[in-house]
This record gives sequence, structure tokens and C-alpha cells, in this order.
Amino acid sequence: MNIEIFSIILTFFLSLLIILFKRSFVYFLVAIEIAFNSLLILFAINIKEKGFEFSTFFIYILAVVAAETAIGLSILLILTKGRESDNYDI
Amino acid sequence: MKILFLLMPITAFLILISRKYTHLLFFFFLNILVTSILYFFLKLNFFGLVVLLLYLGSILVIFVFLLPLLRIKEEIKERKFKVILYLLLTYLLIFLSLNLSSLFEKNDAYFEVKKFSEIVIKDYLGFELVSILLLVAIVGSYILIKDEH
Repeated sequence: MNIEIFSIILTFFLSLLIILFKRSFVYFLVAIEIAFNSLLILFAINIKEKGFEFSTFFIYILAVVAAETAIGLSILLILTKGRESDNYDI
Repeated sequence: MKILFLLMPITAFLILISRKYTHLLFFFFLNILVTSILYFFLKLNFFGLVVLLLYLGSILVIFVFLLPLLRIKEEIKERKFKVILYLLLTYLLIFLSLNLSSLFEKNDAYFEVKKFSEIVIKDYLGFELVSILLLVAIVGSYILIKDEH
């Protein structure tokens, strides 16, 4: 396995670890961003082989991530209105 | 380039061990920066710029402005000042800034924005529905946080 693929997979699993261990909504959202980021680089590496048409998926995923973050942050605002912690175990 | 690929999991690990939201956002910023530079190295300048604008320009800024609104009491006590960590980060930033200038000079863009835009407009016009998705997200988030009174 070359180092590029290894570091992408490692980043993805580190983002999963962030979700598991941090138990905070803010960390959770950031971890999702990092996971998407690492997977998008895999897409970008494959664009050279698959052609330009493949790159439309890239923009589509980016738009979905942006939309998901906007919704996620607004949900976070609602959830933490009457609370002093953003721990999702409480 | 391989060093840059290795910096991506390192910044993710720094997020994992960070204990304050400000540190989290700083390491997130570094992660995005490294990722966008990787796109430039892969000769996909357009995607590098899109990632840089979208993540640094919108998502990170939203995070920065949102944190004071949350009014969360940070229960974790701050650690002692880690000199080695901050020296490492300073070295990283210097390394990146030195390499950035040479990156723009030598890079022959593989990705042609003109060709890509022609494909999106002519062949994949349904792709424009993504903008509706973003609009729905904006309206949805407004409805969610709207004060009833």
C-alpha cells in the first residue's frame, strides 16, 4: 500500500476516533468534515483516470457537506439552548 | 508531497488530543490548508481553490462565530503550555509558506475549468439541482433557529 492511500485511510479512522472519544457535538461535526475531506482526496486521485465527468461528483459531495454542516450547526444551536454542555451523552 | 500526505493524519491526531475549542479550530484550519495544498500538488488547482474557499471561507468562519453563541462552559482544564508542540507547528507553517510560492510557478494545471464547466452546463444540467439543495439547507437552518416569539 502506498503512503498516500495509507494516510487517507488513517485520517478517516482518526476522524472516527474523534467521534468515539470526544463525545462533543462540535468535535463530531469537525470529524465528519475531516472524514469527507480525506475521502474526497481519493476521488481527486481517481479523476485523472476516470476523466472530467467523474469530477462532477466531487462538487456534488462538497455541496452536500456544506449543506449538512449548515443544518448540523443549527441543530447544535437548538440542542445547546438550555444546556451548558454539548456532550451528547447527557 | 508524501510529507504533506502524512501531515493530514497528524493534524487529525492533534484534533483528537486537543482539549479546547480554539485549539480544535486551529488544527482544523491546518488540516484544510494541508488538504487544499495536496490538491495543488495533484495538479487540480480548481479543486484546491474550491476547498480553500468553501472550508476556510464559509465552514470554518461559521464554526468560529457559532462557538460564542453556544455558551458552553468548557469543563476541561487547560494543559500546561507545550513548547515543543508549538515549535513544531511554527516549523510546519514556515515549511508550508516556503513551498507555496514555488507551487504556483511550476504547476501545469491538469484540470481545465473551461472544459469542466462545458461538461456541467451541457451534459449534466441536472447537476444544477445542487444549488437547490444548498438553498433548502439555508431555509431549513433558518427555520430551525428562528425564535418563535
